[in-house]
Amino acid sequence: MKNKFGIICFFIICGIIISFLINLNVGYAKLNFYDFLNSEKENFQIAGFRINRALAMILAGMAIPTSGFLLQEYFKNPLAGPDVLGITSVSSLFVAFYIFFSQNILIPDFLQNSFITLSSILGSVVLMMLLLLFSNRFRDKSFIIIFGFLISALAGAVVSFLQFYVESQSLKNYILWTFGANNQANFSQISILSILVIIGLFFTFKSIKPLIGNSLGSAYAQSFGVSQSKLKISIIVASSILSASVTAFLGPILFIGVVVPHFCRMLWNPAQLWHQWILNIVLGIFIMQVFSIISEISQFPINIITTFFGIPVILLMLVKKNR
Amino acid sequence: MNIFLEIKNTSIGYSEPLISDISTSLELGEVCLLMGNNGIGKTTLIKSILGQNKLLNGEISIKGKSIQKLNPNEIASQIAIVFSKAEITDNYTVTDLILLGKYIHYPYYFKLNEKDKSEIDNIIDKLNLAQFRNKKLTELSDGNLQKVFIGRALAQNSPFIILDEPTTHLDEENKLMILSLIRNLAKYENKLILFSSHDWRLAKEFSDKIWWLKDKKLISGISEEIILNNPELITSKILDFNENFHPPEIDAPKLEKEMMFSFLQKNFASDLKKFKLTFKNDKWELKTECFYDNYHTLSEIKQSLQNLINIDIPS
Repeated sequence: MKNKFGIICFFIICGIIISFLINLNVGYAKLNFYDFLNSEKENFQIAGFRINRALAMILAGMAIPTSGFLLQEYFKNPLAGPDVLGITSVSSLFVAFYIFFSQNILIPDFLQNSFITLSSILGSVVLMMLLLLFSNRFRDKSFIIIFGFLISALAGAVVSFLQFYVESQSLKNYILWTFGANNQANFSQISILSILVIIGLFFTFKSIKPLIGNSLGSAYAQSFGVSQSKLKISIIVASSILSASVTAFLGPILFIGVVVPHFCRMLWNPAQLWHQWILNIVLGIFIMQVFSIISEISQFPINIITTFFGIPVILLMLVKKNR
Repeated sequence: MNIFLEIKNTSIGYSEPLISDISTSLELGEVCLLMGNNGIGKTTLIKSILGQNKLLNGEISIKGKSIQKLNPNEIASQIAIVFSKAEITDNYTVTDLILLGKYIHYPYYFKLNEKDKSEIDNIIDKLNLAQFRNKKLTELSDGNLQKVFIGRALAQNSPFIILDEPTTHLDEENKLMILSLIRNLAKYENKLILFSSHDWRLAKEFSDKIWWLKDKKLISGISEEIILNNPELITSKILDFNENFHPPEIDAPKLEKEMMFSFLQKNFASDLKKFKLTFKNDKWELKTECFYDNYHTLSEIKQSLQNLINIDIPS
């Protein structure tokens, strides 16, 4: 059994390595090995962009599926994902506020991205605070999903309202951001994103055993020594940090948080959460690398790729569940 | 005396006491039935023993140590619980659930050692669940599912097992199986078992002691003594709901007598005291001062009585 899991991971990791290398080679410019190493080379900057892109996909592949996995296990709902908590929507709202209200302010280009990132993070922090505050008042944890859904709807409505009154350039900037900008994060942003993802993964690590103890419901969880309130907080914090940080730096990346955990449950015993988490990470990285390659070749934004992939998979899940 | 669980001058409840001044104890190897009407405090008492509810006063201790001073892991190492209801997911198989019994024994519960895996296999075999080993919990019958939860409690290796209404929703055959299993755990593995049930008739055969929650008090003692001293436990109101019915004299073994009483009460709302029914040689004799006949079936007796009542046989 142990060897079988190792073999599955081995093949996926081989896939990651291959797709990573392909990702470094996909693009208009033809690069060779030395372009990545020698800063005096003409294509060194392009090589840097591609490394950033590939690294961003590694981080997104680790973070977003983990966030979805945590939420699906906690809420025992295979359709739960980071969007469920409203993180993506509120991040988008704060980015929209920034883009639309700064349209008449001259901001240097090098600061634009940073401010967009900061707006997104601020939105996620505000939402996380609201979720933690309201979660204490909700006895039934499913109310957290309803709360997140309502917040998403409200955020979407406010963004639509704002779109009526902005200049077309600002609107375009906002829409481009929502497509998922997987190749616009620079190395320092990737570094900050790495730290945030590591923090999120640490909280995830602390949540796995309590999640296992929570499998039979709150009565048994209490008898196992699982603190329901601590588990709720660590799930909200871990999933928020993971999805919010990726959204902040790379834009919203949709459906991956729902679909990757589903594939992992098909590959391995769904009751073994440690194995599921590891699979979510490796499979998530592999899928994001592949989507990044497709996005680069097709020139479609990555969110269109994830949507075209994600929606049929979710529909199949629903049909299978109904049978 | 080797007291394992001791409850001293304890009141349990929420804002107001549900049960007051509980003082009792239990030893390893005993089976204790917890009885009481719905809403009286059985589950509250169980949760108080588990340390999940605060005591209003008094102390509950396990092997001399107060529950309030033990952390949840220490309590779990001493007490395993089987609730009447649990959220079961599509993801879990029989083996996965029984493996959960080892949850408290591992800091991360990443991978079980070979000794524990072998123990789980033994438990599955002992409970005759080998053929269901890899089946999803949602595919099991209620009786087998209950066995799996008991298996999980066994895997936890706690000396004290509490079962909250383990035989509810089970048919007679499965009830007997579960209760026999519980009894064997106490007698052959020296476990202390506390289980709650409404069904005193089956339960009285399997428990050494009864804790009876009544009128905000806990009456405890040896099962037979409690039943003998509290006959209202036996005379169930279900058997006595027809005010206009006065039974005839029934001379029969206990089971036949009870069944005849139930049958007549449901079909007659009249005074049948002038009649006498005797069960002899697999037949019922119906007698009054001026009438006598034999019948094999209850329907025949019903017909005859109806005719006799209409004729108004004098007493």
